[in-house]
Amino acid sequence: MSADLRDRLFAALGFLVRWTVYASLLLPAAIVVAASLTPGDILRFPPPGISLRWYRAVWESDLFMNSLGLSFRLAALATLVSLVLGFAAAYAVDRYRFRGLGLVRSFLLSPLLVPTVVLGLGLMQFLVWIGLGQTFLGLLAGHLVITLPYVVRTLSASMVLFDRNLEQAAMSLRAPPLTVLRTITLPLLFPGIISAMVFAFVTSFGNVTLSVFLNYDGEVTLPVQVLSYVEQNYDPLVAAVSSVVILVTVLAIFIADRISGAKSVI
Amino acid sequence: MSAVPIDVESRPGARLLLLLPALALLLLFLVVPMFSVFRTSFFPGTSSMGATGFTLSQYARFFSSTLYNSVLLETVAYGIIVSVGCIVLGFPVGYSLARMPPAKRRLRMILIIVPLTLSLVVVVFGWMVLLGRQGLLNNLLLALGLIEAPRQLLFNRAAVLVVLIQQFLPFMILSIMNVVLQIDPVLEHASTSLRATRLTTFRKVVVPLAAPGIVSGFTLVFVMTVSAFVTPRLIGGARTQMLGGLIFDEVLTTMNWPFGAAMSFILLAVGLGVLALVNMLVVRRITRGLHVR
Amino acid sequence: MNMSAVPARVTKTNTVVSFRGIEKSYGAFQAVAALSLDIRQGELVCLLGPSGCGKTTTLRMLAGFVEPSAGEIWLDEDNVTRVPAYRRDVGIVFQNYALFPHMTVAKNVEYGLVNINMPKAARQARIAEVLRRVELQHLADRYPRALSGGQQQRVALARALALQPKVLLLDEPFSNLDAQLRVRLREELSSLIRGLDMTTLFVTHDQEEALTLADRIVVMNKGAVEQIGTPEEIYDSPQTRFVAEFIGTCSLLEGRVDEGGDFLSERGLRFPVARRPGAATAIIRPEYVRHAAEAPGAPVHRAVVETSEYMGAATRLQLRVGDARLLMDGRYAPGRRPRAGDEIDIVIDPTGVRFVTDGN
Repeated sequence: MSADLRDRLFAALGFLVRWTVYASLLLPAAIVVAASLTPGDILRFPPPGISLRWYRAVWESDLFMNSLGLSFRLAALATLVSLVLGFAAAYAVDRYRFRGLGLVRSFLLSPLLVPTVVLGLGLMQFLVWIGLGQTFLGLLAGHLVITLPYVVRTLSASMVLFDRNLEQAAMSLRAPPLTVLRTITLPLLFPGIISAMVFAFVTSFGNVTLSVFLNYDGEVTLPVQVLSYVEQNYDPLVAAVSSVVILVTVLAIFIADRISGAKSVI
Repeated sequence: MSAVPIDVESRPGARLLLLLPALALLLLFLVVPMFSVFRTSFFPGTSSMGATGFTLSQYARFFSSTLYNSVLLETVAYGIIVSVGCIVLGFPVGYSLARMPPAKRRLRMILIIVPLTLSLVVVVFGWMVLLGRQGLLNNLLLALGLIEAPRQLLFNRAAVLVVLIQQFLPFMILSIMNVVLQIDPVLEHASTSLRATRLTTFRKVVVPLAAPGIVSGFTLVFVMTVSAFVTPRLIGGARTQMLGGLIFDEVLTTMNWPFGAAMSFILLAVGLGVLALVNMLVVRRITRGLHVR
Repeated sequence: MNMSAVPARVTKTNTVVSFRGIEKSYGAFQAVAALSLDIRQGELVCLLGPSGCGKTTTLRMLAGFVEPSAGEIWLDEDNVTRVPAYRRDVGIVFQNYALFPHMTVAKNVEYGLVNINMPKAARQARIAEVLRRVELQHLADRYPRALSGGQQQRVALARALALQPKVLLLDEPFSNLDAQLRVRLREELSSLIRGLDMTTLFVTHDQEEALTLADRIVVMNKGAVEQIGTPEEIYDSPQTRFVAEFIGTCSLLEGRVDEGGDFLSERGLRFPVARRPGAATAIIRPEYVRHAAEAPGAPVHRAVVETSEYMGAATRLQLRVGDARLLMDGRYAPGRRPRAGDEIDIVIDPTGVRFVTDGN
């Protein structure tokens, strides 16, 4: 039957596409890590042997280590601040019904839809104007704008699943509002909070499109450093640096998965 | 007994207090900067420092140049090709993920999320190594005897398209997965029981119901593609010009902010325009009669 | 749990809960209108009505989750209208039990005791005591998700009772359980609560639950109280058309009582009643319509059987008498059930005829 044959072809095609996609998603990162292990001076794949000499080179490179430090500081701060702001906002959006609620929600997520070149130019100009041009604070403000939507989105998703009866039950068991928050709401939202933090962290840590506009005092974040380095050079050093970025990202995602995964069984 | 209001729902003050910091942040560092870009795009001259006046000359300059016009066209074309490519490749993955038992889905989700969150430069750099003269692909082709000398696989349009699609696929996959998760599988069984083939079920039941997710994925990917500048710069080289790259050069190299601002707004307007068009043409047709919550 | 000896009820007069002209509106929507109700110590009162009738809102106002728009709520000697939920002596069992998923059974029960700063030793004793009472000592270290629905309900109950509240609130306590379990748990819960002499207010839309459990039933409809009374009063003497139709089954006849003491329905059915003349709406429960042979003397009506529905113990007949329709429950030997189209002679037991005010 031709319909049956078509269906089978269709299924086979789907299978092929799926595994091609999974493979291609992993490919770039895998290549970078493999290439970084080369003992030679030339970036090539597959590498002729295995060595960690380029990782030592990264460790000894002030250029990259300074950027790495900056990226860590920036991502950590952006995560904390956007978590606080985002939690409050997501909580309000989740709990209160008011006119313009939909508008507020869309607004909170809108940075995801603004082209970063546009946001970058605007921020650069505005920061100069208010005297924060080329400062860490300006860079942080920019990163908060792009991490906030991830926090709000992730937290909103876990708040929707939260059973509000639990809070009322706690209240009827003589727990005042702050105790309810501390003993019921926060512990149960914990997996969502961790996911939100990880998303915020990796978003800030890996961002390049906004950061290039907001360098300060010659200090640049690691992705920006990689970008400008790659434009001039093409050697295994940058592969090793990129591998560090990959490691940090994978680690963060893995931790989030462990924590949220174990708890999401409830 | 104190007079603590017990109905939290009836406290507008608390709501405002909770929302204020986030809203203020976005207002100050998103809305105001966008407005200032908008204003800057109407300055005459090549610098916004101390500039005054109001003119459309920046926009006129853009639209009177055949180079800029063709770059704009090319950018939109990239946007559409990449978005459609992501839908075609992302749908099977998103759909199968949604229909998988959660335990089985978990590892694959990590496969999707890591590339999504991985720094763009790292991904692009990975492709450079892969496609470079000493890269995996050239070595593979050499070993297979398909080519005799390493070829330049970078710096062409096809390479840019492949890399952009790979970059933005995770967004599309997640968007489609989320919407398919909300489609009751019973509907598909019902369709099959009504003698529909898999293909028909897919066309007439799954795709229309998944339309909201497809459209929101399209929106996201399109916006990210038209404003991309790292990928075209590193993978496409000088031969591939996209609007994002031009703005970047105009702002950071030439430092001509008014013209950069005008281009930014053209980018924004074209992006929104295409999206509105897609919404009108596609969403209405597919979701006609559907009540999407 | 002791299920055999339900202690004889001593009528007490001291009021524990008092709703005084309570109202709640959301914008133009009136959720609860002018509700007044006193609940005495040890009394088990049920709020009964269809969904959206305001019963749950009333419960939540007593718990302190919803603030009344007008009126006062008194608990013992205190006006608690504006007292936050966490300072009220009210225990509540939610429809979905709302057990804290991240705490064991014992921790769930301990939660409230910690909040009132009870010393650890006393807490342990209290936990053991209430868990023993609901027969769950052996599950103290389990997490709620590992328990059956019935066990979860008992944990929720134990958690609420541990604080020895002045009043216990139950929100649709049996709706999440299957039919078999429901009946058994109903009996267990009833004997437990009565054994503790616990003042209880519960909400349900299930009339059987209300009739079997409650000392008094408050029937609500569209935010207003239709009738307050004992189960017998509610069933035997419904005051309004809504109560008559919502609880049990009945035939409703519009008409008037004439000077001769006969009720004459608009559709032509006539039978003697004890009521003064005037327009009236009569209700007749199906069990008060009988075969003429069973009650000689009363006026006989010839009826046509329209449908005959076998319900196990009884058979429900829908009859047409002239233009009027009547429901009748009869018991028949196998094979003797009337069938649609049969004609039978019936009488209406005058002691079973009630009159209601027309609610609308």
